[in-house]
Amino acid sequence: METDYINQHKRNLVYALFCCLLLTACSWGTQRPEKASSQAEEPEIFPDYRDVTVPVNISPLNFRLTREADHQYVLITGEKGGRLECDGQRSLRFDPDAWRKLLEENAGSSLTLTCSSREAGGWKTWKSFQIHVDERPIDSHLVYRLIEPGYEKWHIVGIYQRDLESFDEKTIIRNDMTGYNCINCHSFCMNDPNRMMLHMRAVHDGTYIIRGKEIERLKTKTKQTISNLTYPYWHPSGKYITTSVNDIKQFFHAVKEKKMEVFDLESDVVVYDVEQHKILSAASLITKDAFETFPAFSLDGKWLYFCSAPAREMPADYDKVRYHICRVAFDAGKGALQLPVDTLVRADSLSYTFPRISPDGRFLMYTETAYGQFPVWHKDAEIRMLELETRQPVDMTLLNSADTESYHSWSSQSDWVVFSSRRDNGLYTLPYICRIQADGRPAKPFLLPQEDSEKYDYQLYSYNLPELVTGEVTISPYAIQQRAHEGPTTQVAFE
Amino acid sequence: MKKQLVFNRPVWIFLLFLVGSFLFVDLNFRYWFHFMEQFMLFQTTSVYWKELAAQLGGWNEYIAEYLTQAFPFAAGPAILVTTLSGLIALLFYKYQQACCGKASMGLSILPLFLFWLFPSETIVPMLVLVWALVGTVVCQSISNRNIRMLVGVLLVPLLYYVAVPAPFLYAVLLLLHEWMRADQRKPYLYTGVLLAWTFLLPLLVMRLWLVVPMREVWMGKYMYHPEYPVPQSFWLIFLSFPVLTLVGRLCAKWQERLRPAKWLAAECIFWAGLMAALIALRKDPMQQAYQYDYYARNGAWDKIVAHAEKEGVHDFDALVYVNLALSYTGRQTTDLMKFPQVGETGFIPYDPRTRLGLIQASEVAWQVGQVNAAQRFAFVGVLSSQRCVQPRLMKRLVETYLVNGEYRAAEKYIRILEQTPRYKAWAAEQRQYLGEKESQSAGWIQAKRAFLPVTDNPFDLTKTLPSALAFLIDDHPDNQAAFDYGMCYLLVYKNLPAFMHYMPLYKERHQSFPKLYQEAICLYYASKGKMADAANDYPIDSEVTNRMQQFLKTARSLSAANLKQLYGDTYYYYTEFMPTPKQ
Repeated sequence: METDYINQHKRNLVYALFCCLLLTACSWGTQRPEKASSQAEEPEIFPDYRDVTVPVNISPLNFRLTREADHQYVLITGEKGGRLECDGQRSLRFDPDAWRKLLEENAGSSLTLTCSSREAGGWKTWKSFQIHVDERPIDSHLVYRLIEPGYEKWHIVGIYQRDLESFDEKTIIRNDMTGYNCINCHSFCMNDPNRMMLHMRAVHDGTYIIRGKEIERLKTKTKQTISNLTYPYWHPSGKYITTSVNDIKQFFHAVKEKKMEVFDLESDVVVYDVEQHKILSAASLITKDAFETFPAFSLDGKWLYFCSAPAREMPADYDKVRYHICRVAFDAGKGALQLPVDTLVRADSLSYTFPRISPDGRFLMYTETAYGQFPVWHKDAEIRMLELETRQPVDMTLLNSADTESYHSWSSQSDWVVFSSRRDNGLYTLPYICRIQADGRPAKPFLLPQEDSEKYDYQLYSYNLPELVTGEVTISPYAIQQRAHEGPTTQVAFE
Repeated sequence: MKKQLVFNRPVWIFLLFLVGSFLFVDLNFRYWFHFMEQFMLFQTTSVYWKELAAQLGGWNEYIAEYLTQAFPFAAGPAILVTTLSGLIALLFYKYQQACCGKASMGLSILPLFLFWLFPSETIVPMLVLVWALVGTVVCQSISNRNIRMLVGVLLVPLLYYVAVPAPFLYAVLLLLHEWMRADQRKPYLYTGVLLAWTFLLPLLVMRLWLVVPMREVWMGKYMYHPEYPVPQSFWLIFLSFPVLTLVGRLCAKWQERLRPAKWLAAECIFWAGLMAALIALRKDPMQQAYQYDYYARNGAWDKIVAHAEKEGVHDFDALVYVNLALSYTGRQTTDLMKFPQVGETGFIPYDPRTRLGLIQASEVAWQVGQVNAAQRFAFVGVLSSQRCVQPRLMKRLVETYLVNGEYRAAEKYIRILEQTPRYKAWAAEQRQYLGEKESQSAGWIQAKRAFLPVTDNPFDLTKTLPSALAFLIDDHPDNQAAFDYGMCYLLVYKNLPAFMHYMPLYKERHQSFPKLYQEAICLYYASKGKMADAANDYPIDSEVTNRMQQFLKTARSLSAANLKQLYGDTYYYYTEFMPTPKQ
């Protein structure tokens, strides 16, 4: 009798466990909208992926509806076939494999997304919107610095690489490994992850040049130049790096319309010979009557682009300095500049900075602001583009926003750009990716997707200097750390 | 049974220790812990949890941050620290029992006095000790030797992940226990395996899992501020446990000879005396500043002034808060001279870099209406803190963004604060002001906007206070806080001509003048030999004039002490007898 009683209990326990498992399994299934009312408007979503154009190899564009809802649901149908559905309480996260398959199937066409939300009054289904899948893939990795968008103090600074085809983010180097110094200005030669440079300031200071597994540490201040090498750009041959040398200062505004100002007391442009360890005097633009900064080579290596403004009394005239975008011929064989200087974009009433030439040599992209060369804190800063052959501007309205757009970088195939923008909250800079079509017109850009779209809500770091590279940076962070702590430092010469 | 309880020495000593610990923290370091709470921010989001769970020691930090929410309450720090101390003492006692057969509560509480001598910034080190001792005691309790050793090895990675550097202490204590209990079979192999496993694990983690600096892989990220060297107290605290275990072992026979009843009273007196001495002597040197910071944080400006009047002002940081409290309570121009003035650094810290300095700079800037500077120092205060969070300054950021009309930036911080149990109500309240129209319904926002600077200038309030204030006053002469700060600055530096330059401006807006201004005006006129004209030009009370004339007549005849007693709160006494601060 007692045995029966125990068996009965065991059986009940097994039933209960089975029911629990069944319930759990049911709750894991997708909750689809039932008796939903149709809404005429498109849903508000974060990040705003409505009508954006994305590369075929991009990681899932996870997002959330910004309205209060108990549950969210989205159904994606591909123009060329395939469907994908997803639901969630706080956000919508797609299965990466299913997403990849859907994008590959619909390369060159569009996906239609229909979102639903379960609210107090039941399910609502919102007007569908589209995501355009471009068949041209983007470079696989994005390298950026994460830094607090602070004023004069930094705490944790790190350079990271993000695999754009997944959500993997890896550290290239972080300053907690190098004595909490400042790490900045990472730059790649022709989007090549194996040829990179960066600077460290304060402890372990120097310019670090990474070629494959080799790391060189340089002391770059010379008697003839006003500072260490600053804003860099590689020559396509990998033999030279052009940089500015700047005496950088900053101050803080008292009025609410402005935050802070970064300006140069002096600045010049030089070319550094990577193999000879010398700054080439014949390729330097060192003048007292002009400020030169933010240099860049054309992708054929024959032109050196830079910003130039007539010297002014600083900081008194900080808001009167306006930079032209100029270029000068560069003879890579001799390592020398060949005058005259050609002014491409004349700063009559505005100032222009960050010139970047598309790898196919057709376009010059730059940033426009009211004054100065450091537009990161200027709300008015916008990205502009010029077709070099015709010298005609391209309409970039679709790329820009009411807030700051500043740094930008081209993909290796000239079809995508990544740029920094403060459009989300006006304070933290986030990376946006934009398709540049054959005629130069931009498509609607999209925010770098994250596995959890809430990440941007709570992250207290800005994405600084986003750079697209064609593969993973393979150098170990420990190797950079070790090089910072040990080994010889090469003093750069000026000849 | 009753007799056993009454004469149970460990219980009495333990209880005595708990009382002593509570009193020590509550009397001496309460405000320190109140202050340190501002640098932690427990959030309920999955993003936050995942971020911590992905780090070494992240779980321990999660628990520490959760518990730290008790710190802002009056007796919160004392209760929490005492509870953790008690738990550590009990676990260590239990461990000693297992090692030596007989344990001493005196030895068990001894390491915890190191926390009295070297109070930590957070409870993270205490929690690490709890983890290590819990692991050790759990392992010890397994009677089967082989299973015990297996569990001992398996617990290492768990402890390492949850509460690094707990496994290092755990391994050492575990091995001590095994060697003390070993008879014929010495645990050589186990020692080798456990030590190798424990001390090679960090290197494996560095190579295979995480990219972390060497210190973090051994110490974790949250034990101490990673930018500063590991304090010596860490080694003392962690080594004290194995060392005292060995001492306990050596003294075990001697302890057996003691008769509890006979020595209990003497032992209790000893411990009580030791604790009383520490409570009396180990004061927090910054207590006044942290106490005022706590009052300021809660808007209890009256309490600051009342305390300063009663106890005096003991350091510059406290003085900054006193002057700020005088401004908030409208007493700056009447009671300024009641407190010792040291010049500019008594009004605002110079080029602040410290945690407290940045908070103070933000508070002063906010009060005088320099909202951008308040925002800037709050921002730097947040990002330079160890965990890059500072809820009090994040609240200030929300306020400054609302005043400046930067609603999206304000919303970012509101959203973060809404995910914290402690600040969510405040954050939710601010949400209603997001928007141009909505923000106009908030009186405090309108009040701040009324005094926003109009003329741009590059002057840093903390480096060039007078110039920065001059711009604020020129833009808004009715900005009373800025005006008073500016005038007080001039008066403290005895710059009467510059002070008098502003008096016509003040006269245009006010019928009566505060006592400090009246005294300064009288002194200025007296220095020109036209004291009688002062009352014609400005509204000077006859009481002020008479008192000053009395001072001038009797100054030479009175003793210094009498003079100070009678006129110590006047501006002319300050001018005559106090040195001018260096600029």
